[in-house]
Amino acid sequence: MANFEEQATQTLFDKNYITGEQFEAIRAYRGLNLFSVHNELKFLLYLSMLLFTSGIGILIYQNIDTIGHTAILGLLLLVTLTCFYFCFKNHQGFKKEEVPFLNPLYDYLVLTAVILSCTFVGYLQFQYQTFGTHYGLATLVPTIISLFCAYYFDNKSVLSIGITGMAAYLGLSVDPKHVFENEMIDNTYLSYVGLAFGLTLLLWVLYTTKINLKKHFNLVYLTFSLHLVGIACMVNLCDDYWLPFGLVLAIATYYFYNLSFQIRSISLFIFTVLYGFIGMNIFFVRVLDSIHFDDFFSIFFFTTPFYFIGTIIGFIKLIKHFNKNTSDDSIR
Amino acid sequence: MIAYDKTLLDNIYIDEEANRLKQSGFISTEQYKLIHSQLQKLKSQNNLFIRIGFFILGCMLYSSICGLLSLLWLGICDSVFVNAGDRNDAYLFIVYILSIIGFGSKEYMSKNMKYFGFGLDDAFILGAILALLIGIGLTFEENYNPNYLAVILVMAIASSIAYLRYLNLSLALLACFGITASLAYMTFEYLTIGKIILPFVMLLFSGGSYFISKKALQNLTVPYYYNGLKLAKGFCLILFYLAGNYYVVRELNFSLSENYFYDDVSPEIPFALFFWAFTFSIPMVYLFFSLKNKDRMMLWIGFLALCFAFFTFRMYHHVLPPEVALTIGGLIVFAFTYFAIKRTKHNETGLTFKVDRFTNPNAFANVQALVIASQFGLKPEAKVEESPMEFGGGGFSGGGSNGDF
Repeated sequence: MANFEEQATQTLFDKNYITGEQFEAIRAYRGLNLFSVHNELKFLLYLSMLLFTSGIGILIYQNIDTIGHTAILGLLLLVTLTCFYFCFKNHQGFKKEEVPFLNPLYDYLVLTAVILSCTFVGYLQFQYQTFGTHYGLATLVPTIISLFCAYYFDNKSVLSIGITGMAAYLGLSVDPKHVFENEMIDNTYLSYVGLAFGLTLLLWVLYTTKINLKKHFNLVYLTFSLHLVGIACMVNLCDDYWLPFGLVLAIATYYFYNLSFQIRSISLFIFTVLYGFIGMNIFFVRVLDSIHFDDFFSIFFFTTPFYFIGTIIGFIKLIKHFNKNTSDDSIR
Repeated sequence: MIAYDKTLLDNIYIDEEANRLKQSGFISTEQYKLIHSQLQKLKSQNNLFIRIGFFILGCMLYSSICGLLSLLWLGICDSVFVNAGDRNDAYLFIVYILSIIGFGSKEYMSKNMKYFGFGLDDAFILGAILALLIGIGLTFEENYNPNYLAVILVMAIASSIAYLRYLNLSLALLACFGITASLAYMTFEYLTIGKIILPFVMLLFSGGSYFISKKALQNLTVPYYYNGLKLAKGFCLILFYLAGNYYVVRELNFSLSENYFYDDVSPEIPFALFFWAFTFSIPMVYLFFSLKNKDRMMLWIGFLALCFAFFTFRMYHHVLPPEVALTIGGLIVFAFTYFAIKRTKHNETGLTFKVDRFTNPNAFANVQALVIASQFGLKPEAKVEESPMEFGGGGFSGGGSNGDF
């Protein structure tokens, strides 16, 4: 079989786009005939972690009456502490910049430990009412543990648990499942909370950028922030006081749009444009609705193809703009 | 046969290679930018999200054009034709016109606007095929009984030709489905013993096509059809496994029989032992050959097939309660992975745990964070009763565990 990748490299060399040295290096590297199963094995590790923690969770849930609470709690605590012990032993300690573990195995161990400790606290609260009726506290303790671990061990997955924990303390469920099922915000009060929380996360990002604290976490925070602000605004756009929220969404979209250039994040860019676009359409419909446009409905129907052509041209322009402004030439 | 300008199309593949070299660090970003700006090439969207976004916009555009034209045409028909039969023919006519518009726009986009996999063009070609299928379905309808065979045959032919001309992978996938579906439908509907031999026909067909596409891949001299053939190869592997999987054969056999409507349990199938052996041996064969031939796609398909094999087994034999199986399974997978990493850590060539510079090591990182957040994210206390895990307290209070302990 002709190897097309090597052919293409040859063409690049023939056209003088790459130097002879580079060409030789590439040829030599391809000649090693590597078959890396790095991603696959890491995925298996991750899978085993998911299976194990889920299995343990259900086991505890089902056998509560037979094993006895103290035994379960003790076992949980023991496993958690063992995990934490190995993590602390093998980590270099807290630094402001990115410090990954030398062995990727420990990333998953941290994750296991944090999830188990969340289970532990939840179980403690349920069974013994340790925190009494201060239900918020039962959410806050695991949140603090996960935030601490996220910053100490430099783990993005744990950070996202921490953020969902903070949101849960405020009464929001921001995990992706609820967001997709549109159950995140079901009343106006919560939407205000969501908006405020999203803006707070944004402020926190600005502050951490200033003091150079774990800058690679910014994307996670900004993603949560964008979705919170976007969804909260959209919920309110369909509600009574829609005009001010349209304004807020417009400002937020503009801000995130510029921010996505700065941090060169394509996912942020796409979702910003998406929220902006959907918000704009809802806004148009509300305006048309409020000026009683129904009588001209057929005219409206005839303009839709042109409206879509217009939006497509607009989107192409936006992407070109993004490509031009980020130093990396093309979006991949 | 190919609609695009050959040099521009070639440059796409060269640009892809340059990008790969940049990602793997063999050439610098500046060098890549130079190459990227100097090569004249077709316009295509490399980012999947943006492509999907444009695809959705393209669908909206195409459907709004369709809606507009059909409304106009309906108005004309109602005033011109008095006879109901004539009117129906006229209605049908517009469906074909819409399909032609779709094909025409795709042709225009690839020839003049130089779009290749931009999202918009995908929407138009798929929309055109859909319109064509609707038209065919309505034309060959008898007594409100659509002729499925005509529809899927046309789907197979139209999407194969469209793939050969436009090289969009979605079309290749559609063609694979169309061909398989036509064959399966013909076997099942027109042969008396079709229901019994269906799995074997599928096995033969997928095995045969696998080797044909493998051969074709080896004899390929230009890279245009490379991806499509690879897709066909993967499709054949999946189909081959599913055709012999015990669960699929048994349940499909049952759902095609009359008893299906009486809420019965599916009966045991003939050659059960053969299918059981097939269910478990084929994933192993896949895994073995994928590691031997360094075929990543086959490795993944083999892994998924193995998972499906376990699922099949657990479907009919309840040996362990699921939670115990999960826990033990997790431990076994962990042990296996741990030793596999230890074994392959220091290999310099061939199979290795070392990061290949040509594959992206962080491919899963972001997905993982998302899955973790959705699986284990904390939920507010008010909703506690709904969640079965973690804080889920709902069922705990059952057997007197609530009182003094």
